[in-house]
Amino acid sequence: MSDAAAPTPPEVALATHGLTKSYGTTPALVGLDLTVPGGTVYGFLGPNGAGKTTTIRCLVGLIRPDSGQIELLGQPFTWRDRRRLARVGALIESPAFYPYLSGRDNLRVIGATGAPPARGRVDEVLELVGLRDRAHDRVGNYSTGMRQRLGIAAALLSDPQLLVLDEPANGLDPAGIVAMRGTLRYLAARGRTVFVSSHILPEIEQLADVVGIIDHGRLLRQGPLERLLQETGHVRVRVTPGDAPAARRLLERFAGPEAVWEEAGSGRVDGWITVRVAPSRAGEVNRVLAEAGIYATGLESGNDLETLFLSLTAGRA
Amino acid sequence: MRLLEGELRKLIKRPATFITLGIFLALLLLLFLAVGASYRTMAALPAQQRGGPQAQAAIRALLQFPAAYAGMVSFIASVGGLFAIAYGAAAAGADWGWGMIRVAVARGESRSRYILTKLVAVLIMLVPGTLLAFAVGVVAVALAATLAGLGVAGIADAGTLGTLPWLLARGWLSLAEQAAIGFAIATLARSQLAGLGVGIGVYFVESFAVSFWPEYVRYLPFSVVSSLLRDSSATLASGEQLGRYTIDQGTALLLVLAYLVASALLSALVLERAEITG
Repeated sequence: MSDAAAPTPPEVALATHGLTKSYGTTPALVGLDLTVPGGTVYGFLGPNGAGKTTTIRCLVGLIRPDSGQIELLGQPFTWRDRRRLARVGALIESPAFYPYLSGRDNLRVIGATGAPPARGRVDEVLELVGLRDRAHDRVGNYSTGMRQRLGIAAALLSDPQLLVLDEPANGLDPAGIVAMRGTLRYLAARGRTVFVSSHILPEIEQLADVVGIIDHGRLLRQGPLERLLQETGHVRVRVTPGDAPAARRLLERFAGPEAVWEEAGSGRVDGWITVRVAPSRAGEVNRVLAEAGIYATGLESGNDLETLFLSLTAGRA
Repeated sequence: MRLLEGELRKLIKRPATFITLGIFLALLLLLFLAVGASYRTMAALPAQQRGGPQAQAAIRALLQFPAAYAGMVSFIASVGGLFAIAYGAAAAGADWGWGMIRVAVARGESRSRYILTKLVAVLIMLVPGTLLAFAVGVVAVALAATLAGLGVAGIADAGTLGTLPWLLARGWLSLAEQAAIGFAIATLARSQLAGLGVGIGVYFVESFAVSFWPEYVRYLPFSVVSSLLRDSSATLASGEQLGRYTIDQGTALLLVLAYLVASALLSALVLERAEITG
């Protein structure tokens, strides 16, 4: 990593105001307003098709928004304003490389575009992502995880002030994920801003300072992760499948219909119903069911990002 | 300069560079040897079975130095043109296929500068390609001429050797124009396969159409190459036909340059306006 003194990050490293984008008649972004504080790790979350990749494409000038404004590092940015991108590093969708070139040569040819990297930077980033020993191998022979690590190295090549990463943990093994998390936290501690789009909620929960959740091209919630979790407690109750419909009706009466959902598609065992109430009310939830002759076979409570995410996106994966 | 170095590094290390050149050189060698062997067989036949004197003269013009120099460059520019289209299309199209355009643009690189530098790198790579093809061609013709019993007298003809730089420059320019067309089509189609297919398709359509509308088709991109290298074409066509199928060399040179520049500008314009979603 560069030993240069940590720069003071801008108050807002990245912002969008009323960003809209449609593909034909299909709206992808509908007035998206994001505010990414400088020097933080920002977790950008949303179900498939929510508009995350479209947002990122707009942020790095690959596509032109239909309307709205973007500010990068405190300055307005339009899709032709390429100079602003000299201080931005990006990993967009799957990492892209020339398969017949080595990892090192790929970084060299990538470094020949845009902002020139410092001398020795290629070796530095290869070391950082743990690919120094495989730097001379052809990228065509790399595993998915190695390509992902090389993609992160490419994004770091010009020592960017703002790092935009689209699903950076894809294909990484657990050790790779831990190492990536360490690198990104280190960068944020050095005054860099990291904008990470991801599906892996526990990963974002461990990594991000601030999160933004979007769906259908709109921002649903944004703010410091800690605060959002405090606001969003839940109680999960498990009943037998036969009791589930009646239990759901009772709990909807107890907490309101919008505060109750079954976690279909979330990978949990059937029969779990989540109620968005303070964790301290777990006993009340249990009592409501017991009074109706429905006995819970499992009960848990807490605050987590997954619950927040699923409650906001109505369980859309 | 940094960008050009990067583009050259990609092309030098790309297997397609050597595969394309290798196939073309093998074809060049085989074809001239086949012509030499045919001439030898023909010469061994009784006089009435040897074919017309015109056919024999055409073969001799291909194999006998110093006229063979021009014929060879014409061959390199015409048949080699197909390989040049493929190479140009591969250089431009692969960047879309491998997602490298988005990497360059997201790094803040100028779209026009990127695509034009890439094209310049392709054109630079054609210089050693043309020279190597010429060198292999000389060896192939010398072998074929020896095989045909024609000998290699005239290979060191001072007058012809003096004109070789200009001849080779025209040969390179012809290849450059055709590579630029393949490059532009691949940029437009965002695919090397589409660039290759459409480029070669247009090449053959034009070659076919010249039989029907020569007065118009002779101004089209692949036909002007024949006019630019007319010295050599003249050995293969009668003077009377020549006027219908070709244009004067000065106009041909301007048109080849115009098609080259137009292909470059089209590529830059397409990329400047492109929404990069793949």
